[in-house]
Amino acid sequence: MTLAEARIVVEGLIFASERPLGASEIASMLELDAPQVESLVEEIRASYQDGALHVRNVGGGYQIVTKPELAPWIEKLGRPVINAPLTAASTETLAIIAYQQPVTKVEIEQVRGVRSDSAINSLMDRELIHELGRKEGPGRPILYGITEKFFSHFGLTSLEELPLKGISEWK
Amino acid sequence: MGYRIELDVYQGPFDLLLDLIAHNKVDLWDIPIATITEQYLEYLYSLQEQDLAITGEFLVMAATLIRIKSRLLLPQEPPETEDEDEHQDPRIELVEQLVRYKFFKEVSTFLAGRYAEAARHFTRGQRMESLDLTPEYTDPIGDLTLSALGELYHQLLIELEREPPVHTISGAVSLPERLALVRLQLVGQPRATFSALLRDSSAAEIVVTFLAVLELVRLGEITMVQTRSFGEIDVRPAQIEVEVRQ
Repeated sequence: MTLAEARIVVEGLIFASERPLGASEIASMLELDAPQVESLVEEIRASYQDGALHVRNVGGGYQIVTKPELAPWIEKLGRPVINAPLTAASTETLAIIAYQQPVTKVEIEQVRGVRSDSAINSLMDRELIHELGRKEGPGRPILYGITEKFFSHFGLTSLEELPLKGISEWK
Repeated sequence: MGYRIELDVYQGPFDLLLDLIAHNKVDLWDIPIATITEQYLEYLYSLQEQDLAITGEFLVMAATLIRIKSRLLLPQEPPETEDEDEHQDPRIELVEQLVRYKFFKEVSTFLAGRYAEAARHFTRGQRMESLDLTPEYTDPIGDLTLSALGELYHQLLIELEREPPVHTISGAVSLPERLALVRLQLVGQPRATFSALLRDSSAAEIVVTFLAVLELVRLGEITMVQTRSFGEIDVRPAQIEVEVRQ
């Protein structure tokens, strides 16, 4: 298979996949290496320049999505369900989990200064967080961590993209 | 001078304190505790005046602020070199909590921005999923009209007025069926125990099985032997004994 042919296959795989596909995952399917896949994806991205689509990298996987300027039109198809607004309490709780995972409910509440049960439940329902196990010690509290969905819902490639400004003041 | 506060926007006492600090344009690391405490309490009173519930967390923070304020008013003992912790600024613990909370609050603003931005990108399946979800939001009342609802209520009232039954007999277990079943269980068996016949039976089934066994004894098809009080009852098909005698 030539690289030009491989590019078409890569595009097809990313398009057909229900979840973001990682470069190494695609590479193993096509017997290429990951950097080759990455450069093919760059080519695909460039070919979309004048089109409706965009290749997004979320949580280390590629996903074909529509360009943001199309949002007002696409929303005419129906109300988006997946990206229903998050409450401030949920976003705060999620921020703490993203930085401090694995983390218990009590540890989250110590940072927020308020009870956080409903925020945690809502994040669990949306599958943005999940249980990572239990902490050793009295009561063996549940440890929470973020899920793969977190990345695609926030359009993040990795946790390294989260801001660090001001973190040194309390860490 | 009172401080007007917009209600319902605070995520908790830390959020309120940060807002007060920002509003007063003071340094987080050098909070004028007396002023902030006063404004904090004013906010709680304003909630009370509007009959809004004050959650426990806000009250705990009020107590913390008052404690810090009183500790600042007390004359400091001369520091005894080693014991640093005893003489540290009483505000420090609170400030550290506030700094940490402030960080996560900023991150959550960042995340909210990313979330809104990501929501403007659509994946291929996403629309389908939202369309598939529609049945979940169907009107639970459906086509129900007021008169149909009245009819249902009327039927419900009739149900309620009906006398509850004193005894309910389930048709599930009948004596002839049990008789047949016990006979079947004894086919080709030299003997069986009564408890084996009762395996997995409900109370009603136990009673009927016992009646069936008694009936089989009366008909001369089986004999029952119990060697001691409350002990196991052996059930033996009568034909076997006849055969042995021959």
